[in-house]
Amino acid sequence: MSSHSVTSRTFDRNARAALADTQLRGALRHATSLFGERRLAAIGTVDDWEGLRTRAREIKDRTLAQLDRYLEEFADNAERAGARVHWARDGEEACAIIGQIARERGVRTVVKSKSMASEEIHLNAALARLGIEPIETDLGEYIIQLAGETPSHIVVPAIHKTKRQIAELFVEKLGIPPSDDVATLTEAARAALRQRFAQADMGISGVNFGVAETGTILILENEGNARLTTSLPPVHAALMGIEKVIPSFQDLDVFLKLLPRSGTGQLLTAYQSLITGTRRAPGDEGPEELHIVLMDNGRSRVLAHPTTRQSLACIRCGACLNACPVYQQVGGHAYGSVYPGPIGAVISPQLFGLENSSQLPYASSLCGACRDVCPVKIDIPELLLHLRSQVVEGDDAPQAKPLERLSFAAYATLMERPALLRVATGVGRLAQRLLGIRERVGKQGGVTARLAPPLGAWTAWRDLRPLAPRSFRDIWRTELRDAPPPQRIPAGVATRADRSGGDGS
Amino acid sequence: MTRNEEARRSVLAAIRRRLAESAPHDAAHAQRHQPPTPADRGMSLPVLNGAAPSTSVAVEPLPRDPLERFRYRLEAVAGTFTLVRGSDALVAELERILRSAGARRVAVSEAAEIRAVVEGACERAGAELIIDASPRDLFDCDVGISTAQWAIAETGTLVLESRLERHRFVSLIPRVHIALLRADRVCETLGDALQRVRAGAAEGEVPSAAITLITGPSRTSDIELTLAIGVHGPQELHVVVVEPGDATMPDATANPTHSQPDGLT
Ligand code: SF4
Repeated sequence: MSSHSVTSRTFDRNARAALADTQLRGALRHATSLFGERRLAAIGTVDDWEGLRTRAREIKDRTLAQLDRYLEEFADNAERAGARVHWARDGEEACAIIGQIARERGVRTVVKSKSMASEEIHLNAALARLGIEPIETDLGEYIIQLAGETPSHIVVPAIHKTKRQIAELFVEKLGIPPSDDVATLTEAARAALRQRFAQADMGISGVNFGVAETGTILILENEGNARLTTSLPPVHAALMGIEKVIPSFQDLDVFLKLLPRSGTGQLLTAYQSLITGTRRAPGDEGPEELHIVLMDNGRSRVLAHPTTRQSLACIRCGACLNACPVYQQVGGHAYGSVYPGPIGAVISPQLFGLENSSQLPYASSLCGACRDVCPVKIDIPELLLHLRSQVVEGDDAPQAKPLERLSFAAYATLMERPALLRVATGVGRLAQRLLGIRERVGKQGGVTARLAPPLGAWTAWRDLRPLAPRSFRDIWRTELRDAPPPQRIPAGVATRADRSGGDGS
Repeated sequence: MTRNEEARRSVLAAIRRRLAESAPHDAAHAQRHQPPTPADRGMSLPVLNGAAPSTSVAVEPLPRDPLERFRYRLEAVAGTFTLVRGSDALVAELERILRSAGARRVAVSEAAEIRAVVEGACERAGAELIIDASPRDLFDCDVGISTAQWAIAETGTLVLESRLERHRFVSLIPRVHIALLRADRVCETLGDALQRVRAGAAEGEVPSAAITLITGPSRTSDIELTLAIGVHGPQELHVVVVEPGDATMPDATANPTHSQPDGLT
């Protein structure tokens, strides 16, 4: 799927294309169900998972309610430890800051570890415009970069690709002999990237958590590329969304229990790097310079209401993607945003503007699976409804959907007036009988499937239930209300539960 | 005002403004809104991939002894564990690992207290020992040897602190990482380990510039979620645990030049 023509404005079209891609759907089914199983097994190792989720959310809520204070504390402590802290109001400013750091130091190649924030602001493109070559070093990101694509999952960027596709890519780009052995492919990437690490003048990483109390940044990973990125080159720049701050060092305990279990089903990822400032003595390891870029880019706006503010509690574990029946079918690219899935459907419109992604709040069945798995208890369905109401109440909405408004107004009128409803359904029944269409209503390819647009857009995928010959109210009034109560079923009589193997006694 | 000062002010001001805007909604929202838990809705959780109560997953009986639990978790993530007593046994074990790894060049961290043991093992295994290897040298080393200051039983994790030992590259760049650990350095939980690391830096002092938690060798599942071991970091992680009270393994955590004694038992 080309990432260029896909935008979050056209979710419906993107989704249809994705649904037709059987290879994609196979890969997604495999990955999301495996993630689901692993996650369940991992959370079983925690005594009080619910309690842990509640604590995490409380910490996040408390921090967000005083975000200004905690950010200042974080920045002051990080600088005391030797880091330089830069503030960026938006993505453009963040790109400019990092670009300037690189240019001033004559940087030619940059190694990067996975950072969704850098995807969000299209940092790679900005660096390339300055003549600086950014190299993604996380295996998944590297694959995506070689293929010229965008990530389709926030934890496993190349989740949509099969190993055969990756093998072909490596044959073409790395010149390796054909192989679809995963270990061989991994080895090829390791060898290619080692050279890039050795050459790089600067490393760029994201940040999973920033600790206000100590000015420490924490980066989680499995491959070791983030450790190399943050310690091998002489300069390290870490891009951090302002929502990543947490108050104390000890709070890490809660989040380190939740994040790997929810994300990959691990008790801990292979590596956590806790970085506090720069090297302390000349002979020490690690970069000479550490730059932390604190980026707003639409986040502060979201603080203005408790419903929207909760989206800043997200720790980007990806569990809601794996659990989402919509994501499971269409994958990440259909959302047309760097943040796909349920969390993407709520943060993309909030960060990048509702007008650019007005379809995303509808890319959900509101089943609640995302809310149930979320380690920080974000009520994504509540947020989706909140955003939907903003879409509907948007300035141009009344003109845009007059028919829809009319239908719902008529529906409300009927529902509020029982007498009117009785008359209307009576008329409906009569028409149904006279036209002899009861048998065909509600069948596949039945009458309603062929309604003219705009109603046809609705009924093409759903069918109208035919009206029952008699209403329940009618049956109740004439037969049930005064009938004697039903007798208890005597023991020994077969019930349906018995036959289906249930406990019928 | 510099750009950075201006940006700092403007971001903080935006945060304060939005939080003030939110204030009238906050109380009402907190009252009205308690997100329903799956249990509230009487749902069968695994069906939804939901948060299962921990009772629904069979919890394996874990060893009671923290060191044994550490071993259990470490082996579950493809690390190896051996317990030795006495410097001869330690040298012999290191030699065995070096030989099985086919080690030719070995890099050692700056932890002086293990230098003698490592020298002995390298000599016997016929491997060259590189001291103070630069990152560039390390790309040509097969094995890196360091100590670990702490371990975590709950997760099978090693904790390395740069304040006590320069470890970053030795434990990362060569194919094989051997970590020496004192048996009495095993913490029960992640929370305990964080507390100790934090307490290691005295009040008002900053923690180590780099604290690294290591749980097993480097790994990836980025290709079809198939596990591959050894991507950018080591392919093998060997933890050699030295029995407490053994004079051959001085205590890297209680390095007298850096750290104060702690209340470990
Ligand atoms: S919304 Fe929750 S489940 Fe989804 S990525 Fe964020 S923290 Fe994870």
